[in-house]
Amino acid sequence: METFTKILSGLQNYTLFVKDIIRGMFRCFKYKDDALREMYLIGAKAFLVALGGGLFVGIILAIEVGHQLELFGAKTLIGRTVSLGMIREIGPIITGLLLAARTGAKNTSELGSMQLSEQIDALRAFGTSPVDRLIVPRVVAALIMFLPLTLIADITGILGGMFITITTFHMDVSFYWHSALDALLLKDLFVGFLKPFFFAFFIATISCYYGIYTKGGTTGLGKNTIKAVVSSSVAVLVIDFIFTKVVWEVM
Amino acid sequence: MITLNNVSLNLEGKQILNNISLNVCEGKTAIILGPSGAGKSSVLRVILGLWRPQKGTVIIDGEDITNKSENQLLHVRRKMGMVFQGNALFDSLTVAENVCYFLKEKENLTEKEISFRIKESLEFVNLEGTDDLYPAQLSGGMKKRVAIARALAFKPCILLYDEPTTGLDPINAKSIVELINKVKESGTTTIVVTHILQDAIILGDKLTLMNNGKIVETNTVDNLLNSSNNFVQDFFFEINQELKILKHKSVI
Repeated sequence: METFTKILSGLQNYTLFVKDIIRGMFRCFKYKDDALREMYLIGAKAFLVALGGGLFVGIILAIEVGHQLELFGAKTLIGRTVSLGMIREIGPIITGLLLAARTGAKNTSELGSMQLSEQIDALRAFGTSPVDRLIVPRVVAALIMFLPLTLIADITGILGGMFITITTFHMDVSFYWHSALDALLLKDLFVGFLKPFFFAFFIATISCYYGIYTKGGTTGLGKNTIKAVVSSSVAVLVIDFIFTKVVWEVM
Repeated sequence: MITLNNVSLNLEGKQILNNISLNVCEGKTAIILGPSGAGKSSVLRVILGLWRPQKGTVIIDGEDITNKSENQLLHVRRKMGMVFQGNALFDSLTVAENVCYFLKEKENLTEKEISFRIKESLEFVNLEGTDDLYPAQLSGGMKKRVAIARALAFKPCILLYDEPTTGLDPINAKSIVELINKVKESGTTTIVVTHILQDAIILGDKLTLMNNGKIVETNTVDNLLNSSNNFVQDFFFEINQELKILKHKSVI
């Protein structure tokens, strides 16, 4: 019962926190320099993570799928499977999970140590809203940067698939591209490009929430960083499930 | 200027402040003294509106701030400067950026005026030439001075100090106490929270002694030294002993 009350109270606090963030987003231009700095830190600096993650997942996907399709003489479908898989599911998920770890840990540890060293209290004491100053730029930066990073993962994944198709399955590159592009419909692109915005919002708000409510010294900070990464990762998977279910049922 | 009427504060089921009443007139200094965990810092947080009491009222400059929202509190907080126990300097900013951080944010000043304020504040705390250093490159005493300079840059009419000399060596602690006295002379309303008796005696004529979230006694140093209250006697025991030794030596 106590745990249930704790979870409910946590959800209530998180909802109120999100409400403050949404209000603060209308004033986000005030701290545009901070948002730009965050965009660089969580976006530009994560370029290689998205590139590497996407590339290797694309390669693995092509190898696994290719061997199975080869049994049925359907190697020409490798491109289709890789492109659909990358754009609709694996690209957004792998980027979401990698960024949940990278951005989530960064946000929670930074804000948590600011909370523990009274820097957040100092902001409030001197009449500055910590949500407007520290949280909103991080959320805005995540919302802007997650889509380009997902695109990088998608493209490199498809390129990785192409590399395997040519080198391992000895297929012509034009077959691969024809199969890959032919499979993609507008709704696939829509779903694949909409997911990163939801992932970004939840990863950024969850990690900032755990950061700003850090208590209990360095042990508390460590615990909250773990909670932030785990919760953000679970949120990514749950949102992806909801999207997939809705897409197959409705669209 | 600052009035607390029967303030009680509970946090996570624990009573932090119990029926606290305090009045600090404009330009005066209040010293809040007591052992660790007495609730001294909580009084400052209540005054700043960082924590909201469950009972009682908090009046700052004639305005009741007890139930004000964060946005409504902004203009009240701009009247106050706070020197935090751990200094609360922004690690990623230089000394000059720390000092002018809130100036840039809140005041409509030109770059030239901001530079002047930085220079003026750093000169006041004897930290000229440290503009480009980062907090990690400063000693404990220097960090405390930067925190004071940051609070002063605002030109607040109320200045709150939370354990300003804790963790400093005697020489640095003495210089910080002198600095607080220098700020007091400018007519700023000041509240100093400390557990160090010697600092309290130097900084204020009238001391408020707290224990377990309650005010035990508010009195002059002389009256506290002769108080019949057991807790006051215990707290002032060491000083009383030193005074007795000094008196004894002067008789010899």
